[in-house]
Amino acid sequence: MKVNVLLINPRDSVVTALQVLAAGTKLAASDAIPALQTCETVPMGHKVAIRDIAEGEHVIKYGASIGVASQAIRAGQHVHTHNLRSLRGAVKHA
Amino acid sequence: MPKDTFMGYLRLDGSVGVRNRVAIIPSCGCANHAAKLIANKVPGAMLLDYTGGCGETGLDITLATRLLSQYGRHPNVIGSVVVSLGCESLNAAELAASAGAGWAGAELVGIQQSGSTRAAVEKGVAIAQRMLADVDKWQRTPQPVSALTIGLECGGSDATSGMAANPAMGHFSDLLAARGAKVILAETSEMLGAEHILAERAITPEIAAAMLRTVEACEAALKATGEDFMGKQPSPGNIKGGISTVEEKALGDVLKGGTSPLVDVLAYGQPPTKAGLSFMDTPGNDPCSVTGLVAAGAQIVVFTTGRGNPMGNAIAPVIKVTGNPETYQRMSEDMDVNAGTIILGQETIAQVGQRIYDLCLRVAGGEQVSAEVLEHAEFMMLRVGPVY
Repeated sequence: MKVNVLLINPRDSVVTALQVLAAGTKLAASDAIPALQTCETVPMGHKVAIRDIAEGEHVIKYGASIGVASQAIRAGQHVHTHNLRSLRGAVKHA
Repeated sequence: MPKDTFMGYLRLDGSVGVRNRVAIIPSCGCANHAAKLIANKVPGAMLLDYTGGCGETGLDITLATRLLSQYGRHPNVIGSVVVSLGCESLNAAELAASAGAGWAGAELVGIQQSGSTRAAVEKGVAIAQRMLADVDKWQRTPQPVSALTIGLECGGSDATSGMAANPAMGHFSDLLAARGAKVILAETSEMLGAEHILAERAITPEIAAAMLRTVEACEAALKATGEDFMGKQPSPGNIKGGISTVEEKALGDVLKGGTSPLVDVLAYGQPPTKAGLSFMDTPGNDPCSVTGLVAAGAQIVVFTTGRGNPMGNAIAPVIKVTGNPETYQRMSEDMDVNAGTIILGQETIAQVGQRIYDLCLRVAGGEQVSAEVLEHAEFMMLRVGPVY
């Protein structure tokens, strides 16, 4: 299967789409990742969860925290500003 | 084996230039138009588009005087014309003296003293033409890579920046640092969430502490504004491109600095004294950050962009690298290096890093970059206090 996502660090809980992924696309990386398909359309360059992430849990990319899940995220879901929030520099978050 | 030399202009103080420019420096916003007219009339004369110099705090006046004079002493500059109105806060005579304190000369033209804008422009044009008249006496000779100071910048980032362009730039940065060049990483507000990575690579505990302190001060200043950081870092374009948080942007940005040890933390525009990778405290605003990098002596800036940023600098070539294959197709006239081949699996990060290195040495030897061909000549001085 043609590679369509990139796993940057083995610790990461998300992969990055190398092309637009339609809902139901099977994920294929050059590194081992769980067998999954996207739950929704994911634009190129955007992230897909490769495991379930609980609300409040750190989301890991580049092997480090890129913020916390603002709601529960299921494996295969698009991860972006709607379900991931920064812990830095922000003042208006609840 | 990568080449270790480039064809540069050896200056009388031992520094090495890659371009021969005359800097036209207004000492205040009211002298800016006359300065622009001079620069427009003389090929090779470049406007430093400074608009402060009056009604500002002493901190801003001191900073601008220091940085503008550093442009006058930059290895790419063979002479300067300071254009003064005559009643501004910034001391134009002091600026001209400091700009001309190196091997290259600087002369002062006053608008009020000359009697009119037109008369001041005529004087300035004559001086700039005289400074450029014997430009051909400068011959390029082989110079070591260790004579280079290279600024690293990114702007208009998207998810490909962290996957392709920035890691390739990191490889390039390591090649330079290993050869004794000075490499400057910058953009403090884009380090929130990745500062620990640089601190861990610092060569002393003091430099590690300075790195953490610099980012902490930036974050505190941002919070003090009462505004939410989202939509600024990351910017709306970054978010469209898939970057969700400033931490994610920072972890992608920090890859530009490769894996070399961090040898120093510099203030805005502060010239590095140590070979290897330094960090400079600049804003994430690209023209403002690049202005500080060049003030510190960077002869060339290398700039990664995902969404496509075309900017240059008044006196230094800015090499544009994109990791987004679609951006390279759409904006190829503005881009110099296609790192999108990494995303497509056609080239490795190291191969692209090597290509950036080879191009950088050719640009140092005179090859024009896209931003120069398109006459990009941005300049934006940092302002820290109010205007009153």
